[in-house]
Amino acid sequence: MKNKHRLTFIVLLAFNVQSSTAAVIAYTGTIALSIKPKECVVYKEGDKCYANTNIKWKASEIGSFCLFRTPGDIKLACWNGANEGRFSESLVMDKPVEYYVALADNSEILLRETLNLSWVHKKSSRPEHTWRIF
Amino acid sequence: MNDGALDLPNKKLFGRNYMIYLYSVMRTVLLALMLVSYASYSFAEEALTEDKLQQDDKNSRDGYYFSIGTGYWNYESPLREELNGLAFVINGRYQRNGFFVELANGSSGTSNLPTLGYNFYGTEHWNLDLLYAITDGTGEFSYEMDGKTHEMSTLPISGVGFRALGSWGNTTLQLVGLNSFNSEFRSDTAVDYAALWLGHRWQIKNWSLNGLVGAKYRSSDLMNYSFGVTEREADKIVSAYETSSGVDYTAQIDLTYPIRKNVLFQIYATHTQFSDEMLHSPIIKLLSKSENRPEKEQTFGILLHYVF
Repeated sequence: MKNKHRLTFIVLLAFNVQSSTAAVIAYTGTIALSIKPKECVVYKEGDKCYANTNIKWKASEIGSFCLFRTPGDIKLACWNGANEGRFSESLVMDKPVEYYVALADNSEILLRETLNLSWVHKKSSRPEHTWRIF
Repeated sequence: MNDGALDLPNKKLFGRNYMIYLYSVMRTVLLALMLVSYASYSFAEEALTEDKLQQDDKNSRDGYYFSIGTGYWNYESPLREELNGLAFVINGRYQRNGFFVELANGSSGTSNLPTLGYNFYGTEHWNLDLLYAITDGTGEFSYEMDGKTHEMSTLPISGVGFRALGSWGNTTLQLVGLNSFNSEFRSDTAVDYAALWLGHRWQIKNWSLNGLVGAKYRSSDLMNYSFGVTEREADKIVSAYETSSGVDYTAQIDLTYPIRKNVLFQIYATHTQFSDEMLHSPIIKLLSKSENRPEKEQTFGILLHYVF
C-alpha cells in the first residue's frame, strides 16, 4: 500500500513536470511590450483622464498572440503567425489601466505594462491652490 | 494711495518706501514662522493623535501646497505702470493644527501678500478662518509744481478679519471681511474691506477651464486714505477729493493643462472694472493723463508652474 502511494506520487510529479514543460514549449522566446504614454495626468484627483494610447509588442519568435486590457480582461486584438504588432485606442480612465500580451491558444500571460493615472492636486474640500483674497 | 495701487513716478522715494514695504512683508513672514513653530511645539504631544485623526478626516486642511511658475505676462492698470515680459509667480500654503500661512502672487493680476490665519471651523462644504493680512503695500505719488516736488504717500495697510470658504465639487465661494489699519490709519468701520469671489472649474478632456468672478468693497475711510486728497494736500494741480465707499468688479478666466503630475501649463486673462469713486480721484486722473494709463485693469499671462 505504501509503495502504491509512492508510485502515484512519482507519476503525478512526472505529469506535473511534463505539463510545465509543455507550457514552456508553447512559447520559449522573449517578448517586449511598450505603451505610450506611460502616464495619464489629470488636474485633480477624481477627474477622468483622456488618453490616446499606442501599444507595440515584439516577440523573438513567431506565434499567435492577443492583446488584452484590464480592468475587465477585454480582448483588444489578436495576431496569428506574427512576431510584432501595434494597437492604438482612445481611452477614458478613472483608474490605472493594464495592458498584457497573452498566447492566443491558452491565454498564458507573457508580459504586462501599466498605464498609470496621476493628478496634480489631491481631492479635498478646499480649493486646490491658494485663492486670491484681494 | 494703495499699491495694489499707485506706482512711483518719483524714483528717489522708491528705496525708502520699498524698505518699509519689505519690512512689513518680512515682519509678517517672521510672525508666520513663529506662529507655525509655536503651533508645532505646543501641539507636539498631540501631533501623532491629530495626524491619525486628520487622516480619517477628509475635511482637514492641514498640510501644504507650494508652486512656482514663470512665463510671459502683460499687465495694464490705472494703478501701476504697465508690466510686459517675464513673470515669476509663487503660490503657497502651509497649515498645521489649524494655523496657516498663505502666499499667492502674480497669476491673478494682483498679489496676495503673506497672510496668516487660523482655521477654526471646517465641514464638508465650509471652512471658516480668522485672518491677518497685509492688503496693500506702500503707495506713493509725486509731481512737480512751481519747481518744487510735491509728495503724497501711504503706508502698507493691514487687515484683520474673517474668511468663509465654501466648496461644492468644482464650485468655490469665498467671502472675506477685514478691518483695516496701519500706524497712521484707523477706522471706526467694522469692515473696511470685503471681497466676494465665486469660481467654477469645468473639465474639457484633460484641460481645466476655470472661471472666477468677484466684487471688492472698500469703505469710505479706506477709499479716502488711499485715493482721497485733503484740503491741506490740495493745490492747483491736485484738487481736494473726498469720496464714499466703492466696489470693484473682476472676472477671470484661465485654461490649465497638466503636463506632468507636478507641471502645469496655464493661460489666463483677468479684467477689472474699478469703482467710479476710485477712478474720479484726482490722483488717478493725473496718473492716467500723464502716463496714459487705462481705466480698466487687464492681465494676460502664459505660465508654466512647478508644483511641489
